[in-house]
Amino acid sequence: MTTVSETSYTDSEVAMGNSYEYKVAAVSGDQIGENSTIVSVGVTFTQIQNIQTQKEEGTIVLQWDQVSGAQEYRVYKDGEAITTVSETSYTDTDVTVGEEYEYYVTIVSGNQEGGQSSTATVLAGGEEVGYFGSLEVTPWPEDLSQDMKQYFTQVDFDGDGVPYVFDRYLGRDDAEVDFEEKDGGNFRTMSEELSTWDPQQSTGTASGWVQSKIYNALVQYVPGTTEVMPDLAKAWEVSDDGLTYTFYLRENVEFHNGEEMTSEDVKWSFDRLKDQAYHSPRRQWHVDYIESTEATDDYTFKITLQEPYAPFLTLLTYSSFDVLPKDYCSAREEVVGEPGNQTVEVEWTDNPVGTGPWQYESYELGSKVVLVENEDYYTGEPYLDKLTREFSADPDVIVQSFNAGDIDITGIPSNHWESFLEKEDEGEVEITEYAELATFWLMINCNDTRFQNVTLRRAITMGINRQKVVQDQFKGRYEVANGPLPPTMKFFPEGVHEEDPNSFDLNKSRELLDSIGAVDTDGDGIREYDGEELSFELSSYVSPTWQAGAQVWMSDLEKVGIEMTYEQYDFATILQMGGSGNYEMMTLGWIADYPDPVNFYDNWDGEQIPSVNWARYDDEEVTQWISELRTTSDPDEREQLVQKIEEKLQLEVPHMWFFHSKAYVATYPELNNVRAGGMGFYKEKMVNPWFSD
Amino acid sequence: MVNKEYILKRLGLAVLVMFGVYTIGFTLTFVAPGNPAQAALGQKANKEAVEALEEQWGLNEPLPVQYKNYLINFINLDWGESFRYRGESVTGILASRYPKTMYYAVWSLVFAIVMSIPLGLIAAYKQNTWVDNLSVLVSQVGISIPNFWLGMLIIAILAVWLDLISVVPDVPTGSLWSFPGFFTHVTDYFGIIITLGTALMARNTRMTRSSTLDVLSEEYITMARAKGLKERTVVLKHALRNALIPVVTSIGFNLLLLFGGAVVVETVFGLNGIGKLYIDSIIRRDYPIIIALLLTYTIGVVFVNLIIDISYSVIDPRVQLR
Repeated sequence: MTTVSETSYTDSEVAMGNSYEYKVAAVSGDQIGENSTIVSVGVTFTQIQNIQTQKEEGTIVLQWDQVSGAQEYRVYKDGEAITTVSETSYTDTDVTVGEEYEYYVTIVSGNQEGGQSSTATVLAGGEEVGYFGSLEVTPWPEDLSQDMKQYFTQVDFDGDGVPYVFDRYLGRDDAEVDFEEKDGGNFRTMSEELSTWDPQQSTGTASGWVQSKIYNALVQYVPGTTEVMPDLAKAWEVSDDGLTYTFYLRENVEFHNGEEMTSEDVKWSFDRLKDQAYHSPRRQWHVDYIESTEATDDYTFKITLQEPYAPFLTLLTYSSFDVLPKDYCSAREEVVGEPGNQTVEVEWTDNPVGTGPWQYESYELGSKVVLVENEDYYTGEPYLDKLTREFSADPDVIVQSFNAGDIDITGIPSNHWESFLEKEDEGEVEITEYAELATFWLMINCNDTRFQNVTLRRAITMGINRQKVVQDQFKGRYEVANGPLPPTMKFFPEGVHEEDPNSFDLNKSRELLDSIGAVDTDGDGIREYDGEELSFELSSYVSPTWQAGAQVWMSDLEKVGIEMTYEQYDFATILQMGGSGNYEMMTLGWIADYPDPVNFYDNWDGEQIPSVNWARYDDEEVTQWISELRTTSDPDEREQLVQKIEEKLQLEVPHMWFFHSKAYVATYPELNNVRAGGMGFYKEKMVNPWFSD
Repeated sequence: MVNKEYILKRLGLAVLVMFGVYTIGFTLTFVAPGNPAQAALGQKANKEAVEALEEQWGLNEPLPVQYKNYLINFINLDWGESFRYRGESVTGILASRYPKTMYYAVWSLVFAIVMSIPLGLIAAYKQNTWVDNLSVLVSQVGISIPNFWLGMLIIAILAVWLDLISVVPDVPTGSLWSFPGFFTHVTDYFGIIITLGTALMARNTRMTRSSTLDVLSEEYITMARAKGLKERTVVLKHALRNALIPVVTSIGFNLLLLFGGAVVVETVFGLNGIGKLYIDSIIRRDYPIIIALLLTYTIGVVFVNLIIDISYSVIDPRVQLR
């Protein structure tokens, strides 16, 4: 069929499914040599790759990658061949909205068939089951890798049974939203007053509550969990080295003032966080982790990290990474002062504008804030029409206001626990319990020469009855902490806290004290250690819990020959003592900013002395593990690291672990669908909840 | 009558008082342990952020410089921004709080006066009758009940049980001092007014009663009666006016006491007035607010005292102001 001078030949004129016979002979002038042996080759089918579906009302569009050599494709729907086409796409108009269909495609070559694609399952869209805001409104971002396409196609972030790409109501309760019936209502709450409208200045839950309603970040929590799902970024990609994060932004998302959100706004917001003039208390998160940011086109935003940081996506859920409207904000703020000592005068905080489900209506200083629904929210308007929040921080006032029907939700303080249980029995209220990512502890100053001795720290820990105090004070509502991490934290190794190597045991405590030569030589009932009476002060912030605990522990320790005194300070003083290291033992706790163990482990990271590591615990091994944990993204490896860190900290007790708190919230039965949890109620975007009549 | 020299002298004295209060207040505030920047940023703030904020707020300046700055800024009416409410001006915050506290303080005073003067008067006039016994009972109970307990009782009965009022009055601050808001919002603040006014009412009842008793035994009353004046004229014109002198002069002082009670009442009712602002600002080390509150309150005290002294001479022309 042809003559060539090389010793190879490529035949592209073959049809898949057929087999061909070839033989070769040498040619010299007119002479033809002896034929080679005959080889028989069957042309196999190449598998069709990358079948994708798009939906429009009443139609489903299939698309797949061109296979070279393939002339025709056959489309199967629910197992039956429906048509044969020569293009690489097919539009099926014979679909019923709300029905689910399965498609696959094969290559047809003569009467041979093969190369079957994977099966695509599609829920037909339309009015009832929309797909607004999901990925197929716009095609997949061009640069998104096959793996990530696959991931975003299949994953069902919010567990409502609708895969993410088809989930119009991402994060909402279900696909069938009976809007009219659930629409309306004013949800009234009461809390401490917010301290700032600027999400980059916000550090607490009081301010965080408004920020989570008004703004969106690139990613968000799945309501009620600590899992991350898309928010303003509809998809993302992480480079193999873990350094570059590419975020593909949703299109057609508008700020409350009608301007469209683009990557310029994201970029500006990140730069603003980094700008020293703004003095953001969370600026460090940009400075420490992020190398550079770039808006590569209107809907693509790239972040390059200095080194891999495994929990980076969860970090981005924090309000300091919320996206602000560039044009609106920059026109209303001004940097003043000399370089090096600049501050910013921000004038938009009297009317903050974001992309969130709720928009600012009014704020009366010292009284209340009112937010109204954003009807153009990208996943549809919230059921509720209004959120009001009165400012009063006193738990008793909040409970009484709830009892009087002035507000719709309240936390339940321990002293009201029993009366709420009764009300629950009578069906008057509903109580929801959810774990908080929090640990409270007694912090030991490891800089104190005596407390550098691990055995002494252990002996003291065994000498105090933490169990009893948790039981007595919280009526069994909170969990005794046996180690630093709350067990609901991701990567928490199963069972690591089950046994406390330093559980309450007076005899063992005495033995350990004897073993380090801390004995009572002068007969006053108090042991001497290092030439001094073994005596120290427990300093705490004003709290009946700690006070009651201190009473118990003082007498516990007296029994083993240690003198503990107790003093209460106001919180600002406690913070100063902790920061300066001017204390012996003090009470504090940690509530996660973002749900990753590393956020907790800053407390024992030798590099973080005295910034966050106020116990001044400096252990080379632990510091090394923590730093590995930051950069390791493999879940199994992370869990192993956490296990090692937990075990060592548990044993060496730089802090004496006390309890993991939980949140208990009461609502009236008319309120449905509040999904708080994981990171706390303040992060709930309140898109889902609704009132029944 | 009131003479100018006297007022000038008093104003001069007022400046001295202000200066003293400022010095003591500043020292107590700034020397107390606790770092405002740390308190604002919380436990998790890193050191650089805290230092940046200290610099922004001028906390790294030597104390005498800060002492001078705060004073000069106060006099120039440049009170700066709050440490706790970022971006909010101190004047704005005070303007959102003072109207509330003043509102219920004034109404508590009205409540106390309206209740106590007739009750005290009748009790004295009808001494040892059931009215008198009632007035004694009311004043004893009223004085003995602690504010916080009465407040909790009122919340339990009026707000939770009968559902007549909200626990925390939810009223736009702006409308409190407008017409007709000034009168219509009494119902919203009813619980607070009663709670705060009761003790004052009790004290005033007792005072009115005893001073009326004193006056009624004076010779000029006997004289008036001897002249054949109507009993009504005797009591209302001759006795009441004299009996009221100690009551009226103590009213101003009582108003200041009411502000003191504000801390307790506002905590119980969760109302964000001056009392709670003061406590919160101390806890959060919000220096600009503390200083501004201290000075504005002192101005108020000085001013009210001046009014009281002037009112002496109006009610009782024998009092000479020098």
